[in-house]
Amino acid sequence: MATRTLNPAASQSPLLGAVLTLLGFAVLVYFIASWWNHSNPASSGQKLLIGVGFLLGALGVARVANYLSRVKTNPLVGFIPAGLTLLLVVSTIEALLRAYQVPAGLIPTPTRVLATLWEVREVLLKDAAQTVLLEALVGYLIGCSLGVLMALLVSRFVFLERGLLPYATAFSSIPIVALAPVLVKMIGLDWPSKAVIVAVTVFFPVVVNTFRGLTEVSPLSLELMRSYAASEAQGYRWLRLPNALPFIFNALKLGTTLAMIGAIVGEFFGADGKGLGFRIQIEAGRFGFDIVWSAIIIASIVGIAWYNLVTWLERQFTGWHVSFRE
Amino acid sequence: MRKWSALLAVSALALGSLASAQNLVKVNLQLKWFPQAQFAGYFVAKERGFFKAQGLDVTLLPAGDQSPIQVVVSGAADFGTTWIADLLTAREKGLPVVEIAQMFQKSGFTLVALKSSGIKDLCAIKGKKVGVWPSGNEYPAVALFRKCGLTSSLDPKVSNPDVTAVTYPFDPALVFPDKVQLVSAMTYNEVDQIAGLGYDSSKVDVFPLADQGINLLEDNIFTTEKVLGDKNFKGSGLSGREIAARLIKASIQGWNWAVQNQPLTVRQYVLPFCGNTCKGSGTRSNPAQHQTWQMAEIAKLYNAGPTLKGWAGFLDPKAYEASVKLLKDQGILSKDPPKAVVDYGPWEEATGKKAADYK
Repeated sequence: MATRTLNPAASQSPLLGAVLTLLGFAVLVYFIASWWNHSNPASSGQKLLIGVGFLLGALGVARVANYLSRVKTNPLVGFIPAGLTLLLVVSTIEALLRAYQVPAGLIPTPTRVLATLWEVREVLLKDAAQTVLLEALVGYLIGCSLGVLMALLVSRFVFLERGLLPYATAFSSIPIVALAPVLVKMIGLDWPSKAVIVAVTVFFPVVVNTFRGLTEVSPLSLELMRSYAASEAQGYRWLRLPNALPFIFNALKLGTTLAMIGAIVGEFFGADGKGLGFRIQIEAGRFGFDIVWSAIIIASIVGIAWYNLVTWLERQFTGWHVSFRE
Repeated sequence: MRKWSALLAVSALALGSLASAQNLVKVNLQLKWFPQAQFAGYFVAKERGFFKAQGLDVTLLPAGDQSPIQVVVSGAADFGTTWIADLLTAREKGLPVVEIAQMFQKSGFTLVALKSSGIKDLCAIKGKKVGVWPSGNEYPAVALFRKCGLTSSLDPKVSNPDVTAVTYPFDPALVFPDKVQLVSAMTYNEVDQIAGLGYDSSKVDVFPLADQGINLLEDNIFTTEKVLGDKNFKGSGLSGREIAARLIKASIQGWNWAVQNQPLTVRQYVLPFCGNTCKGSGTRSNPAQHQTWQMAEIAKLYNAGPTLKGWAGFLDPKAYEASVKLLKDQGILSKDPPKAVVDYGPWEEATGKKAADYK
């Protein structure tokens, strides 16, 4: 931290920010440590102390963030304010939960969640493999490819556009929770039923978006293609599909979130002894919320990674697009 | 003169009923499941005015997705019915729940297997799949697995479990017999449903867990320390303990009546209130038939242990100790629950008996 104070670009010294941040954390950590083995609620003075610690920390982090936003540094340093904020909020929650002695059966402390996450990591990873690789990913791939295929057909044949597209738009607004019990009952408890739920949920947004991308083509470009005597297939290859890519990727990104939701919620309606949704349901019913939160953390990490993977693919395929020009 | 006195009597009566209508204390009782004969005693107590006679206006809440404990701890209901394993584990996780009465004195939890599956010994089920219900209803099965030295997929610390526990939306037809070799079934409900699906006692074996030494107490009445410590329950002027005692008194009255008048209870107090959830399955889907059968099975769970000695609703300390010991031995509880998890006070006040006198 000390090196940053030497940066001449700073108009305002971040030293105060760093000191405040450290002070805030020190207060919080001191309280958490002193209350580690207590089983009685803290006094109001001690609760006030937590508030003071949080305020000091927040002021400090704000100053640090302010300073860093004015100094150009590498992106890793840019994450410092966000990281500090997370750390501050989590420590404050830990301190408050301990101060009020909230039972672990209602809200477990963050340290307890982390310890549990480590303890049950093997089972949770197996659960994640079931939920993500088998259910969400398979469903996602099927739903997305069928969606693009459908959009190609609909954009080519007007009778399909008139007859089918309105339903695609209507179906895309079906809440997944309403569909899940029906599909699980119809197809069974194993992973295919969840893959179908995921496929159905990602399918419609992909159709609607891809269709827009394929048809919202500039008339000038169309005329140009025609003047080249381009065939229909060539028109699709060189004009419509490239034009649709940004739209498709939007739907694909949206789909990652939908796929995770669909797979986890689907498991609530029956599961074959594994999966993140199965674990969450079982443990919530027996007040094992430390495991529930661990499963949520894993699901979030997978969700974020997946989303970023699609974003990375998007950059590879549509790097030419206006939105990526610097 | 006679005219006047008649008028006076009528107006006094009207006033009286008005006053009592105003003075009824609103109480929510969270049932463990959908309305069915399993809760006949409470329906009778409500519809025959036993609750009202105690000054209570009781609403019976059907179960939703949450466990009854979550509903009662959150304050959405004042009292609830649940099973002992669920209650004690919740208490160990820091939830301030207290058992105040034990309505069923015997466990009705069984596992059912096809005779053709060749399962003769419940401990020899390594590699099998077992259908269980979530929300705290899986504990009897967990206790069995542990007792037999088997690990299961319900244990988050075991990555290669001996037994796979399959969850499903309660209807055994969804998983049995194709997806699981053993399925959870209550004597009073699913056993009949499975029979209705074409698997009657000539085709299946029913293993009561009680026979395996897993005799965990089931339907009780519980509440929270907050309700019991309330000096002025919902502004009624009565303490939470007084309300609890009145609820227990009327409930026992209702249960005794229901068990003694089973056909009438099913016809008048169960069938009109359970709608679609009254039905059985397949050839036994007729609601009246299924609920009549359920009522008879429920009566067996009620008419056992202390009830037979005239101590209905009493939590036999020995049975309680046995449940605690079993849960501790199998690692489902890590330590003895605090004394405060059972409170005999309201039951003693309701019945005029002393818990210490029980033999």
